[in-house]
Amino acid sequence: MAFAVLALPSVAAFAQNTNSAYFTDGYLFRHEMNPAFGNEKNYISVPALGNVNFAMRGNIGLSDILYNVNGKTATFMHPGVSAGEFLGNINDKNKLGADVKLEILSAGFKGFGGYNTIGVNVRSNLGVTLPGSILRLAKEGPANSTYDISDFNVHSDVYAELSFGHSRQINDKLRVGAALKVLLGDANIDAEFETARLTLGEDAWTAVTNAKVQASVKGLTYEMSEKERGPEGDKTIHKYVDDVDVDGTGLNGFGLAVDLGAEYKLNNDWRFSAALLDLGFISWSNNMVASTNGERTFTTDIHTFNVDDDADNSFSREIDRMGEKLASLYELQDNGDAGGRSKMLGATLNLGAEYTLPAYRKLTFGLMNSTRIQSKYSWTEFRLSANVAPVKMLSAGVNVAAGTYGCSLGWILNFHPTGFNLYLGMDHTLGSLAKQGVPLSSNASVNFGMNFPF
Amino acid sequence: MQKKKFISPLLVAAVMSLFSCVNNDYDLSDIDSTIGVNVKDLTVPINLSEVTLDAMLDIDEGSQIQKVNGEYAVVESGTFHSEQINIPSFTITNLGIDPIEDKIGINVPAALPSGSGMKNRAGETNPLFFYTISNAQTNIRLHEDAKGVSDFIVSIKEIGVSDGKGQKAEMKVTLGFSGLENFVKELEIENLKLQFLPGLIGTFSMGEYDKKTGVLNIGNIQTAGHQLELGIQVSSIDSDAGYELKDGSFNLNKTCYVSDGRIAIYERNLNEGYWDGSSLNFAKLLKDFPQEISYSCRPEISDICVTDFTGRVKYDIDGISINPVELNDIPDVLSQTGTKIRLDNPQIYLQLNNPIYAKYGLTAEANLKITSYIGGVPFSFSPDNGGVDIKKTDNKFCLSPKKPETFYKGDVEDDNGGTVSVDFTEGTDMVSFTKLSDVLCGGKDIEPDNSKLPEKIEIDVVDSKMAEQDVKNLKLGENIGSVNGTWVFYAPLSLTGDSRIKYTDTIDGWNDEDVDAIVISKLVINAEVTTDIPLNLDFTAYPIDKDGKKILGAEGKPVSGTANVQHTSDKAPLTIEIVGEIKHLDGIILDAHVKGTDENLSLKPVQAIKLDNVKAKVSGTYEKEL
Repeated sequence: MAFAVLALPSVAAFAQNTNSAYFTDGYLFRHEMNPAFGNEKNYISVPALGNVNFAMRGNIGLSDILYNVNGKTATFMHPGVSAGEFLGNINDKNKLGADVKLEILSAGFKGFGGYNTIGVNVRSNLGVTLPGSILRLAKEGPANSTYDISDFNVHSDVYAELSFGHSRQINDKLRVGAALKVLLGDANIDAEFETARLTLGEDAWTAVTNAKVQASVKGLTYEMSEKERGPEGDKTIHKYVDDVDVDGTGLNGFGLAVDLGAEYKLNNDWRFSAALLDLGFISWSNNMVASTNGERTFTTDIHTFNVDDDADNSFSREIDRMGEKLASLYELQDNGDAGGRSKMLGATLNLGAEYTLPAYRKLTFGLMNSTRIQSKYSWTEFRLSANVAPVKMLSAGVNVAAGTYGCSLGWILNFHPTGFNLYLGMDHTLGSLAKQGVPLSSNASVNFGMNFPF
Repeated sequence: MQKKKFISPLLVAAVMSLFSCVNNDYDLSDIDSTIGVNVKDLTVPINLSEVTLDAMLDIDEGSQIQKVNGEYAVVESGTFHSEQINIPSFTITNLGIDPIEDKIGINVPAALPSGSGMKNRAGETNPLFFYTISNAQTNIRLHEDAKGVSDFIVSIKEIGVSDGKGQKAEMKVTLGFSGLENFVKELEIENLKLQFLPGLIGTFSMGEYDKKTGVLNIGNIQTAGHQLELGIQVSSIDSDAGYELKDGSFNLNKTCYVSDGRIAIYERNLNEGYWDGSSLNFAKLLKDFPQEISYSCRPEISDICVTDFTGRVKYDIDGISINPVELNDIPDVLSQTGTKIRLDNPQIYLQLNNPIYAKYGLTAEANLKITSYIGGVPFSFSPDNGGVDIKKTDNKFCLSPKKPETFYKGDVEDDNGGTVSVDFTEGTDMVSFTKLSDVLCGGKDIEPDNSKLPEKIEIDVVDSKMAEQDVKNLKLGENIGSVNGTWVFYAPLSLTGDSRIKYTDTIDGWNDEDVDAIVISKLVINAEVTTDIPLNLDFTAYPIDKDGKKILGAEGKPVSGTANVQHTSDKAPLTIEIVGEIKHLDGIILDAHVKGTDENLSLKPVQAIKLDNVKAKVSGTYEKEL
C-alpha cells in the first residue's frame, strides 16, 4: 500500500522525450534529447502544454497476464492456460516503467553565438522489476527447486528541473551543446528485495529475505502495527510497518545535472549525433528507512511436528510457529530517518545517425539508440525512422523500434506553420486495447505539445 | 501536387491511429478468476517427533488400561469378604432316661446265729444280712440329629460341654431304696460301683471315675435318707469312650446301672425296737425284716450344650464374591471385532487372611475360575493346580503363567470408595496359571473374524474351603472371623506372537472450500522407521469423499495406500503410495492390523515410533475460483 501511495505522483504526471521526433524537422524540443540541437526559430511554449509526454515501458503487458479461455477473459493462472503458452511470454527479468515529463514552461532563443533554451519541467519516473521465477512458481506450481525472486524492486522519482541550455556551431561540421539543470526533489522511493530466495529442497524448505525501503518524502512516517503471532500460550508481539502517513508536501531535495550533446555533419547526406542526458544527482534531505535489518531466514528444518495434541510441538502449535516465522520474513521495521542521501539520476545516452535521401532530400532516414542507464531499471532501444518534411509547415515520421521492451511502432506528426506549432506522436502505438480501452501491451506513449515559434 | 503533399502525412497519421484497436477477447469487467496450480512430484520434507505409545493410545485417567510401573496394563481390583466362619454348637436335649425300678432281695449270711443275740453294737464286722443291688440297667442315649450337628464337624475326639447357660453340664444319679425305713436308721452301701457314661471329664461328687470304662467306684458309703445322690459336673466328653458322630448325628448309647454293691445291715443300724436292753431280738428281727425291698436308680442329665470340640473338621468358606470385570472402558484401538489378544503374562493377585489359621492353625484352600464372556459365550480358565492353599494367617498369591519380574504394588479401591495400598513385592507365593494368557481372547475357539476382547470377565472363588483336618478345642458357635482380601487383575499389555489387533477408524471433517479444490493424483510418502514398540503393524488408508465413501480409482477399486511397520531397532524403509484421482477429500478410513511379536515384550508408554527423513511426494492440482 505504501508503494502504491508513493507511486501515484509519478503515474499522474506527464512528459518524456519523444524519440520518434529525434529526426523530425521543426520539432522544437529536440534539444531535450540532445542539447547540441538548436532550432531555426525562437519559441515559447504554451504553459504546461508545450511538451507533454507520457510513456509506459515494459516487457510484460496485460496480454501476457490475461488470456481468452473459452471466450472469456481469464488470468494466466486459469487451468485452461497452458504453462508453455504463458511462460513463453514471460522473461527472466520483467520490467515495467513509466516516465512522465511535463514541460511547465519552455523557451528557446538565439543568442550568445548559439541557441539557448530555458525550461521548467516536472519529471517523474517509475520502475518496477519483477523476476520471472515468481511467475513460473505461480503457474507451474511449486517444484523442488530454488526460486530467486531477488529482482523484485520498485523505484520512483518525482522532481522538478530548471534547465538552461546552450548550443553552438563549432565549425561547419560540428555542433555541440550543453544544459545545466537545477533539480528540486519532491520524492524518491526505492524498495528492494536485496535477497528473496525460496529453496524447496527435498530435505528442507528455506526462504531467505532481505528487504529494504528507502523513502525520501517530506513528512513521511511509517505507521506500525502490532500483532500477536505464534502458538497459544507462546505468542510474541510482532511490531511491523503496516502503512505510511504523509503529513504535508514540499521540496525535499536539491540537485544538479547536465545534458551534454554533439552533432557531426559528415556530409550533405549523413549526420551523426550523441548526447548524454541527466548526468547528475539529487541530495535528498531525509531518508525514511524500513527494513528487515538484514537477512531473515525461515526453514522447515527446525520445525518438528508431534502428533500428540498435548505436546508443545503439536501440529497446530507448530503450524502457528511456522506462521510466525513466515510473517517475520516480510515484516519491516521502522528504522527512522537515516539522514540525507544523494542519489544519481538515471542518465540517458542517445546516439543518432541520419541519412538524407539524395533523390528526395525532404525524406530522411534515421537510426537512433536510446539507453537509460539506471541500474536495475536500465533499458535500451533502437529506433529506425523515416522522416519527411514535404512542406515547410508540416513534417512527419514513422518508425519502428526494438529493444528491452520489445518492438514497437511509432509516429510523429508536427504541424508548424508560422507562429504556431502543434505536434502529436507516439513512440509506441497503443496497439490492441481491452474492451475498456486499457492497452494490452505495457508499451505505450502519448506525446503532444503546442508552442509559439517566432 | 501541393495538396497531395499536405494530405499525405495526415493519411499516415490516420493510418497510425488505426493501430489501436479494441480486442474484444479482453473484457476486464468479466474476468474468470479461476486459478489452477499444478504440483508434480513435489517433495515435502516433514520432521516428525517420535510418536510414543502414550500419545497414540491417549489413555484416560479412568480407563481400564492404565500405566503401572512404566507399562500398560489392564488393571482391575477390588476387595472381597467371606461370611463369618462359624461352626455352630449343638445341644443334646430332651434326654429321656428310664429310671431303674427293681426289687432286691435279702441275703442272710449262713453264719448268722440263729436265736441268739449279739449285744456288741460296735465292732462287729459282719452284717446281719444284706441286700445285693441288682444289675438292672437303664439305657442312656445321647443323640442329636443332623440338623443340630454341623456337617463341618467330621469326627469328634473330645467335646467341651456346658449346660447352655455358661455352667458345666450337670449329671445326677439318684439311688433310692424303699422298705427298710422302719427297721434301720441308715443304710450302709458297700462296694458300690456305678456303671455310667464313659469319657466324662469333670467333677464327681463322690467316688473314683474311670473315664475309659465309665465305672464310678464309690466304695462304701452310708446314707441316712435311704437314697444316695451322685452329682457330676461335666466339662467335656472324650469321644474315645464310644461316641459316634456320623452323618451329622451325634450318638452315644450306653447303659447305666449299679454294677456292684450291697446294702449291708449291721446291728448298729437297727432301730431301738429290736433291742431289748442290750440284747437283740433276733427272732423278731428275722421275722419282721422284709425279704425284699424296692430299689431305684434315676440318672438325670441336663441339656448338654456342646461348646467346642477336638477332632476333625472341615468348612466351606462361603460368600466370597468378586464383582465381574466389565471391560467397557477399553480404548477403541483394542475393542473392535477381529482383535484377539493373547497376553504374555497376565497376573491375578490375591491377598487374604485366614482367621482359622490364626486361632486354630487350620489351613484353607480356594479354587479359582476365570470366565471371560465374548459375545455372551463363556470361556473358563483355572490355575494349573486348581487354586491356592491358604496356609498362613496372611497370604499373598500371584497367579500367572510365569513369575513376573516384579510383583504388583499399587492401590486398590476399598468398599467405601477409598483406596488401600497393596504391596505384593514381598511374601508373595507364585501359583502357576498357564491358561490365563488366553483370558482376553477366549482361547483358541474363536475365529479371528469374530474375535474381540471379552465384554466381561468373571473371577470366581470356587470351592473355597477348609479341607478336613484335625482341630483342637475348636469353639463352636463362635464367629471366628471372615476371610477378607483384595484382588488385582493385572494384565500387562504384552502381546504374544499370535495376538491380533484389528482397528478401523474414520478420520474425517477435512473438507472445506480449499480442500475441495485439491485434486491429488499421486502421493508417495517415504520415510525411515524405527520403533521399539513390540508390534508389527500393517495398515491401509482409504481416502473418503464428502459422502463418507471410499474414493474409487480408475478401475473402480478404492484408492488406498498401505504400509508395514515392523518392530525393529534398525532403520527400515517405509513407503506409502496412493495413486488415483482423489477429489472432494474429506478424510481417511484407517484400517490397521497389528500383530504381536514373539519377544512377548510389554507395551510401555515410552515406546515410540520414530520416522526419519519423512518425504511426502505429491502430485496434483489446486483449482478454485477466487
